[in-house]
Amino acid sequence: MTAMLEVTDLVVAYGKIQAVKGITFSVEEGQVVCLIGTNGAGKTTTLRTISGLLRPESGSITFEGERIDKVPAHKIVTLGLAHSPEGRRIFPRMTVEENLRLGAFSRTENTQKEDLEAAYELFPILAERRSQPAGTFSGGEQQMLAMGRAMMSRPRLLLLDEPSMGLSPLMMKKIMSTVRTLRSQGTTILLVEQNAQAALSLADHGYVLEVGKIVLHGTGKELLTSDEVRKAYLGEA
Amino acid sequence: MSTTVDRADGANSPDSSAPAPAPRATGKGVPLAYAGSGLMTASALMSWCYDPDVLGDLTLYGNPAPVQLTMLVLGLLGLVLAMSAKGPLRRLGAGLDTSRGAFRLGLGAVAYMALTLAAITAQAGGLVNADPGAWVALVGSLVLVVAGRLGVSRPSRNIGAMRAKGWVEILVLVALVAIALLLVADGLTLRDPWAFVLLLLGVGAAAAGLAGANAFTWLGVTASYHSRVLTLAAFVAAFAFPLTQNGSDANMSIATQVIIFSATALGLNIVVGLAGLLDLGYIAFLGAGAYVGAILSGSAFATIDWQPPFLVTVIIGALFSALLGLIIGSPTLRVSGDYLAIVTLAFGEIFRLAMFNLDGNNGPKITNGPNGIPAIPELNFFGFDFGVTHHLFGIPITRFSNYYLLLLCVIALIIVIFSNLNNSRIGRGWVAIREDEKAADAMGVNVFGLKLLAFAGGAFLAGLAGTIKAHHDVSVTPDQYQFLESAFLLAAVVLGGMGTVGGVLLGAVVLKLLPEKLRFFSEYRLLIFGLLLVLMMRFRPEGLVASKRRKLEFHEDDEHLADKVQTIHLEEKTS
Repeated sequence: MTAMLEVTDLVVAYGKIQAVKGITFSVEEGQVVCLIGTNGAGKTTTLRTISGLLRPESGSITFEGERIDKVPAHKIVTLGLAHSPEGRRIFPRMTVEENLRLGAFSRTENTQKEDLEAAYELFPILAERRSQPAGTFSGGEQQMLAMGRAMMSRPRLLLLDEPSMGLSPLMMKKIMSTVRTLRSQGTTILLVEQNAQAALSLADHGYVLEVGKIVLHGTGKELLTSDEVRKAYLGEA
Repeated sequence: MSTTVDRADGANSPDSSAPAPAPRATGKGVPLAYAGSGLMTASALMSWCYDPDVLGDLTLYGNPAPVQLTMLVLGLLGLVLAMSAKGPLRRLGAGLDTSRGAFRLGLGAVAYMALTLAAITAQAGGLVNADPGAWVALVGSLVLVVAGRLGVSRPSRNIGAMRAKGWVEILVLVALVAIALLLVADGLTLRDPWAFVLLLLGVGAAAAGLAGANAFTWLGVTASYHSRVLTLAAFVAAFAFPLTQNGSDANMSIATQVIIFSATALGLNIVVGLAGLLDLGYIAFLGAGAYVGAILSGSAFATIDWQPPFLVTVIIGALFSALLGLIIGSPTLRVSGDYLAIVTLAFGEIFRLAMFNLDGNNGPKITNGPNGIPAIPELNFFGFDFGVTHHLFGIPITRFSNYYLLLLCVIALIIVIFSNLNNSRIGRGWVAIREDEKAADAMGVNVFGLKLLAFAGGAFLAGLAGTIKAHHDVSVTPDQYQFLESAFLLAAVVLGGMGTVGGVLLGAVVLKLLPEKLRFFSEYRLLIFGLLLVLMMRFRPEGLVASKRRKLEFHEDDEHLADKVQTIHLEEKTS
């Protein structure tokens, strides 16, 4: 049986500079898989290529058995793959509800009401502030909105880019527990994080990226206890 | 259900946290405000000038001329402000910033009187000709300014949240529309440029006072509550306008030009205001429609000997324009940024030069080159001849009125399309593209497709208007469609308020009407216009009428505004 998402020999370049130099990994249905690594390791580039915002130089991306590396971004969303981008990129002058509705842009069926309810259930604070311009939110609230917005397209696979960036420890806990909730509700998650501890402790499988290459992989537990990871990412001697 | 209650509380919290009937601090300026506006009101009943030939007859006591009536209105407005600070209108005053209102109203009135005195000086030969009345008015205005500076009263409540009875609100809106109609009808008949400028200044002073007192905030909220009523009233007024002209074509020809300009500006507003695409060659699409209309009109100079029914011509013209839009748009809309502006700018010129050269010598004979296509016959709709005068209830409806009414229907169509798009899924997609193209793409918005739709859709509407314009203008020549026209259209959209219907209509009317009435300084037209744009961008970048969202874009760090937007949103939801 093939995995839900398969990335094979993926090479992505900005001009002449290769940011991702041939990586291969896969995400099984129902798992949380995380990519960790330092700045510039190619994590975000990988996610952006999967969701169609960037085109690969070579290699292939297969989602549920279908090649998607040449499919335009807005069509990829309709296949059931949503991207919560780095830096949240919510629409600051739209209200919370408008932001959420935009997440369901690709859906033609009339299920927005239920989807909105689901998003509000996931993050009750969004319901309280549904008419507020999203730009007035704090970082944590914006992150919740970005995740809620991504969920509005009812994805089977959610790409989450650095959800903990710039958040307080408390807020980060909240976000990570939401990731767990989403998985238990049946969404597969590909998570990119700099915060290796938090990411690995909830991931089924993890990949460590360094300057565009996968240098290590294993289950979350294995990586958490691996010496190299501890040295490089968890700040332990 | 509990969430609804919470939300309502949250919305009102900025005001309701303060006790509602709190005694308002009234300033030292209250007596002065009464005195100033009282003087202004009284002055209107006095003589302003010895010379009866200046600005109508200002010499009579107790019989105000139009110029004095304007001052009477300003004075009464001042009295209303004073009374709502301390007096019978106190309840109204709770939401009004009468200090700022009085200050600005006073400043406007001072400017008004300064110009009046200048007119008296210039026309009667010296300032000695001014009578006591004029000086009383000037002093009254100055006193009102001082009153505003000293402080009259500050608002204790958010005026946006204050509601009157439904029928009262509707009555206010309808009355305002009626006043606007009367002002336009009246202003157009003024032949004396001094009187016309004074009327403008008077309206400006009243508007400045009301805006200063926050009355427009209330008006904005109320208008969005009763937007249907307002639109309907505005249309009734616009349809009634030809009836006020008594068969005279002088004003109707101006009005028809204004309305062609407005229709085109509204089309551009979809491209610029909704989708955020900077189109500097929009006039070319109007021109393309006009040429199609002319060539298929059956004119003796038409180069194609085929005259389809006009409705078919309209559709062909609109589709042809849309096709041009697709051809220009598909390579350029893929790249973001300024490329589109450059390409459309070039396209506008290419169009004009192409029309100039398709004359049979330099290219195929399609447009007759610089001579254009003259002698376009009048429109004839199912036997209704647009060229002759018809009668409605005994009131003559002239040729220009016929075109005016037809174009008004086109405007209605464009407004319907516009507002449906604005509130639709597509409209949300456009907003998202404007805000963050990449994020919109990641959310599943077909960025390129939606941009192309806006671009071609805008071109379609311009082409549609163009086919009618060809018949109205009787002849179509290349020089009608030069870059300056595109610039003016864009200015109407920006000046009026991008993304709003009312604002763009206002901007279009102002930009087209003023030059027609102010021909005596037509050499300085562009200078003044440029100055106006610079001032607008400095002081009110969101345009005369701001859409809620645009306002946020220009005043992002204004948290108070964000609260206000939220309040308005909530009220729309719960209403």
